[in-house]
Amino acid sequence: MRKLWGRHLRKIAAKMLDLPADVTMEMPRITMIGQIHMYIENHRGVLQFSDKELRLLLTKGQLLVRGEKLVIRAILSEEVLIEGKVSGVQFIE
Amino acid sequence: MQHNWLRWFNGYLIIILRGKRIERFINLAIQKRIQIWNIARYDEQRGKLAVKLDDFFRLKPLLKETGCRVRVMGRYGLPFFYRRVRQRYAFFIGFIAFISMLFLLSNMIWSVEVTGTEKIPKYKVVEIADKIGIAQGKFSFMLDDPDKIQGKLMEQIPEASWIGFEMKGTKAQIRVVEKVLPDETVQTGPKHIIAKKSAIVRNIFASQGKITIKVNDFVRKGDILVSGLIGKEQSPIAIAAKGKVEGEVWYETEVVVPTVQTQAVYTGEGHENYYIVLWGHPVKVWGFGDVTFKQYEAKDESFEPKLRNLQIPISWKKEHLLATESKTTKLNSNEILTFAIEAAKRDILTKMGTGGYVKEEKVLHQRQENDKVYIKMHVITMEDIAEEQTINVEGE
Repeated sequence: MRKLWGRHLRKIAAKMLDLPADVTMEMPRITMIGQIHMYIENHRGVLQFSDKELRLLLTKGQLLVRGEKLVIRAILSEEVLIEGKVSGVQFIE
Repeated sequence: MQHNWLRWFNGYLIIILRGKRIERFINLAIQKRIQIWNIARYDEQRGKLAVKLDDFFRLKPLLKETGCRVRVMGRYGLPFFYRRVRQRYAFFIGFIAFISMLFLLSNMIWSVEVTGTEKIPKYKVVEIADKIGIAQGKFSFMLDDPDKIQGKLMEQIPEASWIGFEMKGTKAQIRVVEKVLPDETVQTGPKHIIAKKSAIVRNIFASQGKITIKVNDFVRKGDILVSGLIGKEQSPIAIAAKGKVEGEVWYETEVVVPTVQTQAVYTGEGHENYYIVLWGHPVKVWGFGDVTFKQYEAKDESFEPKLRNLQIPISWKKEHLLATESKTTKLNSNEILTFAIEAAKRDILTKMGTGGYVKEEKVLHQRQENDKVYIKMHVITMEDIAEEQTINVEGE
């Protein structure tokens, strides 16, 4: 009940203050440059990584990135920069 | 994200991880703020990544926890570079020595060049420059400001009115502009000033001596104008008379002017021949076509390549033939007259020497004979008629 309240409050605050959703609601912000670069903020860790697939944990659900020759160029606790040839992005609830 | 050069500065390793739980390893590394980047997965078992040198030693607990094994593939950055330098110190000493030698030798004065001297001997300038510190083998960065050097040089060489100093690469250039000293007055014996030509005196400027004539006097060649004998008439003192006497001189000249004059005029046509000159023998290589004109003026243009000061026996010559045409023009009486006056003036100016000018000219007589006009002219000029004559002092 309390948690629900909190989320509700946040939503209202976001609307009133006109803040972007990624800041208030801990959603991932994904920036892509064509197929070659992909920059993901607000992730919660690497679940699975191979040169064809990267599965990232999010606050809510998972993010699946498919592609070829994927390389993690840089990784920090909340950000990750991927290079390679991205063919698909999928959200898993 | 850190910059690449900063990573290089701190040093980093490229390692291969062997194990099943590489994802777990990555997450743990992030949590412990261990910098890892360029992560690639070969297969289920192996991954490659880069890690900061300092952080590498902090990986051990993570490896234990995830059961991975590590192998170092490459070492990059300054710490490893430094180690390599220590191993091959001789090579690096050589390299640094080379750079410093290059720097030193290119900043050395290799030659001192003195230009512009006429009366001041060059070796003297070089000697003084040597004292100031401009000499072969000195370093140019040890020298003073060029302005200061200039000042010093000017101080030490008072005969020069200006001295310029400039470093041109490895050459020290000293440019000297000499003072033009007034001619030293040559002590001469007693002198008169006499007339060079017969003339009517118009102006007398005597600085020394006794003037024996008046303005508007007619003097003959050889007359004394300014006497060098001054004082009492019985016991005169002989001095060197000095001065200038301007007089009107009359000339009579005859000028011959042809009434018909031929001149070569370019028609605009041209022809070009090209030659390669081998050991002085020209070999024609271009321009074999017929020359359509008979009269021409040839202009040569040659290109002689040089190797430093060596003359190469092969050169290139371009010959330009410009077609000409002779054009005859007949002068009318007016043109003849102006032409004659010009010619007469020119003639007299050469006779007169410097400092004079033509005052008046008059045509006395004019007669025509076989396409030629003979003009007799009377020309009046103003000129310096003074001439020095030594006095033979009696009794000496």
